[in-house]
Amino acid sequence: MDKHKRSRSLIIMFVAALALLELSILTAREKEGMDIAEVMRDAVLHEKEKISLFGMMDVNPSLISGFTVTAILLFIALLIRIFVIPKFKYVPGKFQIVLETLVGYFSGMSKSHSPHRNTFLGVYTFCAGVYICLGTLFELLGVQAVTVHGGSVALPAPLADINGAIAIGCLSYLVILSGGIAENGAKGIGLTLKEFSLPVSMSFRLFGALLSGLLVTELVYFDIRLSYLLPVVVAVLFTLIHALVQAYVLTLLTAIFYGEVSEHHEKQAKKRLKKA
Amino acid sequence: MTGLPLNIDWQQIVLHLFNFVLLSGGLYILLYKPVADFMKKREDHYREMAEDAKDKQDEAEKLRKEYEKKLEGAREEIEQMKQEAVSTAKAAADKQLENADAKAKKILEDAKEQAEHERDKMMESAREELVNLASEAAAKIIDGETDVYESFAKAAGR
Repeated sequence: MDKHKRSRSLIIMFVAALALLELSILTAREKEGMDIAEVMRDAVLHEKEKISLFGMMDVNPSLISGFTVTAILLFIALLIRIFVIPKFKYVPGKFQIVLETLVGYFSGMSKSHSPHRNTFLGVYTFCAGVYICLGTLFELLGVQAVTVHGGSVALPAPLADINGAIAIGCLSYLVILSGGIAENGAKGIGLTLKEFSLPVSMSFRLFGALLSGLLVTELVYFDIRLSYLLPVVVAVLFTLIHALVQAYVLTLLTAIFYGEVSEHHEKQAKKRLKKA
Repeated sequence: MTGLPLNIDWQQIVLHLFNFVLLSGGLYILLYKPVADFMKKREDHYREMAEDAKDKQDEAEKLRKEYEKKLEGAREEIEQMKQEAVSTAKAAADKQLENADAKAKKILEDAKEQAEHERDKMMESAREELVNLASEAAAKIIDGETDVYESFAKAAGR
């Protein structure tokens, strides 16, 4: 009896899915008269699809994503702080292990790459890592927002926007600079300025990597016939890999450069003098 | 709008920065610091425990050595006391033996002396008796008894 019921409901679901597929293909039309080049261009530059920020100004959808991700993360962090952290035990449970591994990973990375000065670096890499990773995964939710023209747009990853990527890339550079100044003073500034290409490379690496995922997704969704099954591979897997890889790369690079400029250089100079 | 290429907008960059700084501050206060503090607390706790255990072990080892030393001392003391007791007992036995010896000697001497005394006394009494007999015999001779020898023998036979 149960078997019959199950197979009947499966058949009904399959038929419904087929009907929906047929319907969507039949009703498919060109995206508001835009051709593929235009869609791609707008995905990169956001010239048309802007969202109003509380009526004050029109901003790219990524900024709204950024604010949303921040709000969600802070809310979750608050819940964890109130309900989970006071119940921490010396022998940790599963969720405690996850939290401790996360914090331990970033603080450990900072310690290993920058042994002289790493407290602030640990905090920064932790926050940047969490923001990049979860911000990119936010793209998967496909939260819809209303554009200024009245259309709807799926909120992209916060850093798939050039402004967001520049912000994080430059901030990382400033963090590295601060480490150099704090440890080596004026010499630290010199050491950091030597890596003048770093902010550009960091920003555009982040932007390019995250944008590529977005573009592939746009490309796939442009044609309705490609919108079935294929996105599971190209969108979801790409996004998952990007989320982890970009979070890892940016935090690792920041830690390495921070460690390099916050290294003591007086001893080396003395050694060189002695050798001479 | 701002005329920068690639639609770069300073205002939005600053807003992104503001957003991230806000997130960093919040995550630091709500998540990173409490978790890191807890991990440090646990590390300190276990380090303290390990140090405590080491201290206790060291103390136990020290005590063990001390007791062993004491035990060794006690053993030596016991041995010494044993030897002392043996020597005391030996001395006491020797003394007693000596005493007994002396006593025996004294008894013997006393006995000898007494015997000698007895003998002397007997000799004396015998001599006295002989003298008496002699004097009696003499008196009898003087009184006219003829057979002196016989009367003497008679007197002696009494």
